[in-house]
Amino acid sequence: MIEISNIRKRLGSREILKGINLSVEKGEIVAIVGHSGSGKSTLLRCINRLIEVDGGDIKVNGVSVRKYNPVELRKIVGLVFQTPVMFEGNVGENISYGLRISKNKDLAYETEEVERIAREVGVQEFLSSDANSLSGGEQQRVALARALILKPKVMLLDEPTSFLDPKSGGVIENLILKLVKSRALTVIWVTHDVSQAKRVGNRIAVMQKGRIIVTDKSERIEWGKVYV
Amino acid sequence: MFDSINLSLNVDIMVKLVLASSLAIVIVVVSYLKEIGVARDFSSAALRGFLQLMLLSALLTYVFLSEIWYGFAVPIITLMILLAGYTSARRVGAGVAVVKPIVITTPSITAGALFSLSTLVVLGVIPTEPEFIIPLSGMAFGNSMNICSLTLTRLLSEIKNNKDKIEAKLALGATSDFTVREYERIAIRWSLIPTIDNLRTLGVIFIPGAMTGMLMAGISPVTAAVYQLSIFFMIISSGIMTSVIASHFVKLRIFTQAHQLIL
Repeated sequence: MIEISNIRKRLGSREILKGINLSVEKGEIVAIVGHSGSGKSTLLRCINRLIEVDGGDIKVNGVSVRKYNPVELRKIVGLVFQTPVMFEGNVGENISYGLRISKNKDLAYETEEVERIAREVGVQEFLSSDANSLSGGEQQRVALARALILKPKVMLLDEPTSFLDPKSGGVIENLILKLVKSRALTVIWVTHDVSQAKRVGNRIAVMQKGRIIVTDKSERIEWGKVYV
Repeated sequence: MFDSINLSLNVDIMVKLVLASSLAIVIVVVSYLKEIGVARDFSSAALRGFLQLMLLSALLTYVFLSEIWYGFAVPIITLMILLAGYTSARRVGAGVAVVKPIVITTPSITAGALFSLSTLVVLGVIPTEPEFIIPLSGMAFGNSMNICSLTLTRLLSEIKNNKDKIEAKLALGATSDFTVREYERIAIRWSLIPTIDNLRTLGVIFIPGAMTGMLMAGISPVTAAVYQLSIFFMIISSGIMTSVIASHFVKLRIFTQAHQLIL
C-alpha cells in the first residue's frame, strides 16, 4: 500500500531524512517511534506531499505520489497533526470542511455524514458549538472526524495523543484504533512513546537521526540496543 | 499653457512664500520653548522640501512647455514606478525569505496604477496633456504604493500567523488558493480602508489637496469637485487592482504548484 524508497529531505542546512525505506501493507498499522528531531513528522508530511522530498520516491497503491493530483492524494492519505487546529465556525462546519470545499457538493450527504461520524467519534452533542471552545481531547476527536469523513485509504497520525493527559490520551488511542480497524485503514502512527508503539503497531519502525534503524514486530526488536 | 497654469515665478509669489514661512518661526519657537526637540529636524526638512519643490517646479515648467513633453514624461513615470516599487518593498521588508518583495511590488503597482490612468485617458476624462498626466501619475503610483505596502504587510502577517491552519486545510485537500482566500480578503479590505474613509468624508471633514489646489487656482467648484471625484475613483481602482495583483503574486511565491506552503 505504501512503499517508501530511499527518501531524502533537507530543511535549510540540516538533512532531516537520510534515505528512508519502509513498506506498509494494506490494513497494517506501522508505528514509527523515535525521539524529537529524528524526522518522524517530516516523513509523514512527505507522504501526503505537504512537503516535497529531495530524493527517492514514495508510492501509494503502487503509484508515485508525484503522479497524483496533490489535492486528491491528500484526500486518500489523511493526516492528523499532533496539535489539532480548529478552523473558524462550529464543530459541524469543521468536520464537513473537506466535503464543503469539494467540487461536487451534496448537502444532504454532507449533513448525514457529519452526524454519523460525529456520533462515531463522540462529539455529536457539540455539533453547534464553537470548535475552538472544545477541550484538547474533543478537538482531537474533531480532527479525526474531519480526516475520516473524506474516506481515506491511509491515515498518517503524528503523535495524536502526545499533547493530552495520560487518561485522555488513552481514550483517544483506543478510539483511533477502533476507527482505523473498523475501516481497515493502512496506518503510520508516529509516537515517541515506546509503550504506545508496542500497543498500537503491528510492526514498529525505530527512527534515529533521519534513518530507520530497524523495522520489525515489537517482540523481535532488541529495545535495549536500538532505543535508549 | 504657461499662463493658464500660472507657474511664473514672480515677486508677488516669492513675497507670499516668505510670509507663509512666518509659520515656520512659530514651529521653531514652540519646539524650543516646549523642549520638543523638532526644531533642527523641521528646519532641515523644510529646507530640503523647499529645494525639492523648487527643483520640481523648474523641471515641470520646462516639461510643460516642451513640444516633446512625452519624451520627459516616460522617464519621469519610470522613475516614479521604480521608486514606488522600491519604497513599498522596503516597507514590506525581508522578513519572509521566500518572497522578494520588489519582484511583487513593482509590477503590482505598475499594473494597478497604469490600468486606472489609461482607463481615464481612454474615456477622455483626463486630457493627454502633461499638466494632467504627470501629477495624476504621481498620485496613482503614490497611492498604489501605500496600498501595496499595506496589503503585503497584512497578508504576509496573516499567513505567517495562520500557518498551522493553512497546512491543516491543505492536508484535507484544500487548494492553496482556497486556504488563503480569507486572509487575502482581510488584507485587501484593510489596505483600502483609509482611502475609502477619505472618500466617505470627502467635502464634509476635509477638502482634499487636489480640489483645494484647483479652487485656489480659480477653477469653478463644480469642475474641481468632478476632477476630485475622478481622482478618488482612480486612486481606489488603482489601489484595488494593485492589491489584488500583489496578493496573487504572493500566492505564486509562497506556494508550489503542488499546493505546498513554502513560507
